[in-house]
Amino acid sequence: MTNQENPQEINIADFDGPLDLLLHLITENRVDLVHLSLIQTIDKYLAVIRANENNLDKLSEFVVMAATLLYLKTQLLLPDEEDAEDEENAKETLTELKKRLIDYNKYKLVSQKLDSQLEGGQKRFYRAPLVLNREVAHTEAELEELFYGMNAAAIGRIYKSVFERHAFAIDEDKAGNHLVHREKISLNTAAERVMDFVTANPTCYFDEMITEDMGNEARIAEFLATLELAKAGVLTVYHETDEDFETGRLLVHLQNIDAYKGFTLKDPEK
Amino acid sequence: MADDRNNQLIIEALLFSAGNEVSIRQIMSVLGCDVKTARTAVNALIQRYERSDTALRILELDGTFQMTTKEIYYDHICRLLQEPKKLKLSTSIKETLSVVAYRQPATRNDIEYIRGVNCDYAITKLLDLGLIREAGRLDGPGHPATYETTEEFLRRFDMKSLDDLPSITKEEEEEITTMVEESLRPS
Repeated sequence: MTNQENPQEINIADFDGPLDLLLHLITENRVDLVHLSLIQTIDKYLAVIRANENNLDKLSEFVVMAATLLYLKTQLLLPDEEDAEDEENAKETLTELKKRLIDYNKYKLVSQKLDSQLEGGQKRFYRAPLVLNREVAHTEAELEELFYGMNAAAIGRIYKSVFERHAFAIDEDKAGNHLVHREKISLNTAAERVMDFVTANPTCYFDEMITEDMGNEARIAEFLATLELAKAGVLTVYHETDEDFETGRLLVHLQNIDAYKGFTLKDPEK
Repeated sequence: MADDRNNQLIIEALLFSAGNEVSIRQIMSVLGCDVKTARTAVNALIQRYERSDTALRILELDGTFQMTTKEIYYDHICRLLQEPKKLKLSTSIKETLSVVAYRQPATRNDIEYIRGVNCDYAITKLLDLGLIREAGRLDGPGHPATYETTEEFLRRFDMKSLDDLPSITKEEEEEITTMVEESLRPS
């Protein structure tokens, strides 16, 4: 044992675990299990442990390693000839420790090699993907055709009339208090319901889909789903109207069921 | 070979608009052709880019393809755009990445056994950086998650596929073994 350096100088934070420290000690020729003095080993590890008392997480791994080294050392110094099993254990522990050290050293080496390749790979640029989605897939002209005769005010009026035609679903408990339910409605579920309805009735009015028991949110979801399905080209929506758009119902027609394949909507975050 | 030429042009258009890597399967489905035809066309396209006077190249990453600028224009591009943050990996993260790269699919346990130290932080960081991803779970007790490297890893470390991972020479291996054996030699 040639090393006379102060073991206190070893700081756990500089090492990535006990294997790393042991590897360091070996490469620096500070550890040689055969010639190493037991006292010095204990001192060295104890010093490391004391110096890092406030880092218990990391420390436990070092304690295990120190214990393993000590165990090996005792087996080397005091082979118990009567207990063959114990000797076998020590051999196994040593073999495993060696294997781990060799493996770890190899990974350390390849990680350095990999690192040298990092430079070249960082000097290329590539562009962001083009955004191709349903929004740009429709031109203004197409949308106009899709929603022929529609405008925001008209859609609003139709929506309102649907609500007027159906009194809101009111739920009461036994004492006659109104119960207000918070409904969680997914647009995709609404779209499924709309699709079920139009598959059975390929041409129908939107208000026919609305049933008495549906709450506010369900109605909104179904309305939005219908519009989205129209946008995706699954349905066509036609406003049956007189000239001033005052009255009239929303005629829904199943246009292209194939377009519904793979149709999913992102539910807006509440 | 008019068809092949046309296929090349279509693939070129695809790679330009996709930006990200495009797989050979995606190319096959666009062209409606078999693997061989797609592969021939892509290879010809890669060759064409390498040969001709262009600032772009087609990068191959584990059976996917991506259009990028050539490395030599890096400094020029940086003068126009803000220089991208270079990836700097700490030793522990590099080592964890190496274990995943060579052992994939690797579990947390595999990594921690080899490195002898807890790897939670390194794994989280590597997942964040997109260099590794979860690759399903093992059937064993606890169904531990396994990890594998991503295309981003190949791209960053300048490799076409995992076959390009650096290897250890015989001499290096012997040197390591000798050193460990000698230090831990029982009398």
